Amino acid sequence: MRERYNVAVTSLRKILVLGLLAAPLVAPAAPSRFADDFAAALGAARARGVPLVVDVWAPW
Amino acid sequence: MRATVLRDPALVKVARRFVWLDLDSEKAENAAFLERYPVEVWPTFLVIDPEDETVALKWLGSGTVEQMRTLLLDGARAVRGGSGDEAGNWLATADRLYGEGKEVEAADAFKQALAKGGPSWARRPRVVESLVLAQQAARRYEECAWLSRQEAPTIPRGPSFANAVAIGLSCAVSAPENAGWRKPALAALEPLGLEAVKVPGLLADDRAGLYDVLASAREAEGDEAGARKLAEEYWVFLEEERRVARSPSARAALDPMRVGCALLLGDPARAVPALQASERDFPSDYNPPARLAILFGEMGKLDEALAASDRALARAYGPRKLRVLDQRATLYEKRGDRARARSTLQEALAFAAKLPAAQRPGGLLQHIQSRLAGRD
Repeated sequence: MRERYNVAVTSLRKILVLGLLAAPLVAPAAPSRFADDFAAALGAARARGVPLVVDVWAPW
Repeated sequence: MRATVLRDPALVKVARRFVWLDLDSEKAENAAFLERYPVEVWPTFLVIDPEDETVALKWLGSGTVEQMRTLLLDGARAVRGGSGDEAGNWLATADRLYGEGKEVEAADAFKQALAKGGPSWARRPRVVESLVLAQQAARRYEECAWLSRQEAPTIPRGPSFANAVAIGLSCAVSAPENAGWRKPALAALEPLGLEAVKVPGLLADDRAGLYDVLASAREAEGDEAGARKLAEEYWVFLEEERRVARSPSARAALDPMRVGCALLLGDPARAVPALQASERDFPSDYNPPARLAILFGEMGKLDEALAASDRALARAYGPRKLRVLDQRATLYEKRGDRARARSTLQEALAFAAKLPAAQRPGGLLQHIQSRLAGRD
């Protein structure tokens, strides 16, 4: 759960397969998980048109 | 919860419909976020509308897989502005108001949502919990305890029931001793609490919180024997959780409760082995040695306590370092070294002055200033 970039395997496979056929038409999937970078996470949420969930935690 | 619930496949599936940000509130780089979205409870979950950057839903504390799933879906609805039905629209409004820190207005909207949703509304348990929590956040303790007494018995015996009762009990315990409503509230809520603590499927930290508040309620009633009996049950539960924990993280998650329970029982030594194991498992985490410093200090083993405090200070960062310094000053006081106690408190204030404003813990700073002024 704590990895910074969590690109779905299926999306990655799709990109690889389609990439052989039509590379210019396929954009890389936006990352869906971030750590300590609000601006980047907000940008990704806007790009995907989905809400942003922030888990505010502290080591305790 | 981070070690268990958030890794559950059912939640991971729903989480894919969101972008997820893990944010450590102790890190200096997150100060600007905290300036804009202040947080007082850990963990806090925020669902943010990416278009206008407003908080559509705020949830304090932990939750089961099902609770978190419901919250994520409600958060998505709140971003959309509601669900089309009246109860769902009131809920979305209430969630937004609570996210904006307007707890009184949020409580009124949660009440409207409950009234429109009716007794069989699927969201009723979660909304009852949110309503009671909003009253507590607004420091309307009497209303919080009253709503807990009235509404909690009407919902199924699950995590929201347990949490609504725990919050209500906490509100009753927080009331001034001379408040006329306190005693009848405790009398009504304690049986519900004893029922709640046995509800299957609760998160371990929710069950621990219930034991803790039930023991506090007995103490509030001047029943030392009753408080001790509950604390002993609480300890048995914590030991069993330690035995069945699936990972070091899951086991260490209850360390603060272990320390609290051992202190409640006047027997700090019983928590030492668990905390020593956590320090071995997490050698870069300041928490286990900081907690060992408290335990050894209470046991009168001041050299061991200061050695543990040294290790904690070497690993601590951000605002929590202040708490380690505050505890360290107590150790020097116990040793009769008032000069070093004082210089340690001054060191804490100097450190706090360098923290970004949003990361300065106001209550703790006031406490340290009072100690330096000789008022505490």
